[in-house]
Amino acid sequence: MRYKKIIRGRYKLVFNYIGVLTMGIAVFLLLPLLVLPFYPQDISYLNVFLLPSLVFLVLGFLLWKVTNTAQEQVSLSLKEGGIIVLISWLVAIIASAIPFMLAGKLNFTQAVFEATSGWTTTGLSVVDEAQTSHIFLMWRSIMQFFGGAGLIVVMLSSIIHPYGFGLYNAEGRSDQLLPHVKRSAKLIMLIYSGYTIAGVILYYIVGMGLFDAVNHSIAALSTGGFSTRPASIGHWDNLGIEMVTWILMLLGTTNFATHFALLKGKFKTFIKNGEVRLLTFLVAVFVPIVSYFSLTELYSSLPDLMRRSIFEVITAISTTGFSLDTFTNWNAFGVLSIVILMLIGGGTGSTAGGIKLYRIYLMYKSLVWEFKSYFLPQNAVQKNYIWRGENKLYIKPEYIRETANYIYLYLITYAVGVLIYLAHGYDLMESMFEFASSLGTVGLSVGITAADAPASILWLETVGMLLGRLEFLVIFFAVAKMVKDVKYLATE
Amino acid sequence: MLNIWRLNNKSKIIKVKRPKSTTDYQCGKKIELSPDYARVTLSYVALYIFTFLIGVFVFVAAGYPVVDAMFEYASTLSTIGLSVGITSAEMPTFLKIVQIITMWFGRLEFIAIIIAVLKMTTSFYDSDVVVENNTHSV
Repeated sequence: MRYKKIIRGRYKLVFNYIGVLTMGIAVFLLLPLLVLPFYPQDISYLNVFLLPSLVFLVLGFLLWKVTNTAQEQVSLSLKEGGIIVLISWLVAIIASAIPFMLAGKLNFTQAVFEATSGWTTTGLSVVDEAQTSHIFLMWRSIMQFFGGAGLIVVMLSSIIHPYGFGLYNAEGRSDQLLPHVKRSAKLIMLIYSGYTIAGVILYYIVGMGLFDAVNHSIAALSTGGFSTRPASIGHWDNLGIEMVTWILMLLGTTNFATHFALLKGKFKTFIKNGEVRLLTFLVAVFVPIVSYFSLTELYSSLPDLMRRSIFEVITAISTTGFSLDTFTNWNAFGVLSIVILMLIGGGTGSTAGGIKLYRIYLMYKSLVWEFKSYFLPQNAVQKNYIWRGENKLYIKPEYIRETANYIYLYLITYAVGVLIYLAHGYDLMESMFEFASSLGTVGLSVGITAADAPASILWLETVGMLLGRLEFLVIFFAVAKMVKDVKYLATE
Repeated sequence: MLNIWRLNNKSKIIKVKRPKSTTDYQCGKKIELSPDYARVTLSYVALYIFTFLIGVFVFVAAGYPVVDAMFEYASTLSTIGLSVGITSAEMPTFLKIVQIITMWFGRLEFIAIIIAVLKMTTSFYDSDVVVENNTHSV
């Protein structure tokens, strides 16, 4: 029974981590209370946050205490990391949904939807911002802040001592900036928080109120897109605010490793970076064609037109989801362009979602290599590499296959999701737009997602957002491993 | 038959399922699938989908609704021939040209055409130079 004992030991360790993470989530639930000194009228919601926080603190502590047997430190595998990530994310989402329900604002489906949208940095929303008190607006932003960096990264940078890369790699923010996992996580949090504070200051300078500035800075950098106003950034109609938002969204969609290279002054490696090149290319191509084919019908002056098109292209490619105005009056070309951009998504190792620029770039490169290889002598050895962060990354054929598999999985899920929408009777364009927005954790909407949407659609989007944020494979591996182990333990 | 045996915890020999090999049947013959082979296939699928998207964009830019554009272009690219009514004598000339090229590409499977064109354009240079260039830029 040695093997079974080993498995039990491993799961003890896994649940030990989950216990610590649950306690962390309980602490997050207390953070929105920081707005109380500024907005004392929200004091009535004190219990709504205190109560779940207390419950999850106790739960987490008990779980941690029960599984905290003295054992030698072992490194976690990627699959075990996957189990921790999956369970702790589910706990985070449920814990975060409780305040909305306790306050009587949303029912269970809507609250879980809103919490998932927050944690996955999507930004689709079923609450009416105009009717929502400051404490809940702040809570939505806090979810996006931590969801953007990743629950595990936040915890690794503060309390958990990691053994092995399994846990760190499982969350889909896998670039290592430094050889040491914990210091990498700390560095990510430092860069992320630094940009957020800079963003708050910039917004304040261009004329946004402090509360709005904090919320929008977090939502832009985490590429989340929850706004404090029903009309999103369009509420201000201010070019300065829009330009700050462009910058923050682009920063948010850039890989942390690339940021690190940039902050160290390695501008040349930054330019060589495939993701940066592809991002520049896509923005440069889509802004003019969307303007020409779609927006000329809606705007009469060129500056207005460019303003709208630059903003919407960046918000889609960075998977942020802020918006200036509605998409319902766009023609098919503009909407399809935005759908394609949302599917492509932002950078790997950033806070963005979607298929990721890096994977698209790799597929493009592999095509180029493919054609080149036809002209090489039969036994020629090609050393294919691309620039990632500040390193040359040599590409193996297996690696290309993995990437392609991911893209197919993504597109198949996308197709299935769109078919489900169509079965509900929405038209094709709306369905494609809305599900690309959910799966890519973007947050733009053509109006399907609202408090009165059918529950099945909200659940579909909830699942889509979670799959998109945790990058499919981790969830599949984790579930497959759990099923396999449970089956094995159940024998005899 | 090659089986893999493993000692289990009770030190009893049990039979473990043989890992599935990456083989497939083609024309009645069993072939081993190398990662390279998979890569070629994936490149083809990627090219196909990419071309499809570009084509749909062209149709949409010409003012047709997305569903019609997707239907018509899929029909063209896969050389099927079903139509929702876009393809007709009154269709703009440039769309006809797009359709002609698309049908041609779809039938000859991209890679042959691209390789042929690349070959023709690069053959004018000394072949050694071509190899040099490639190894450097890759």
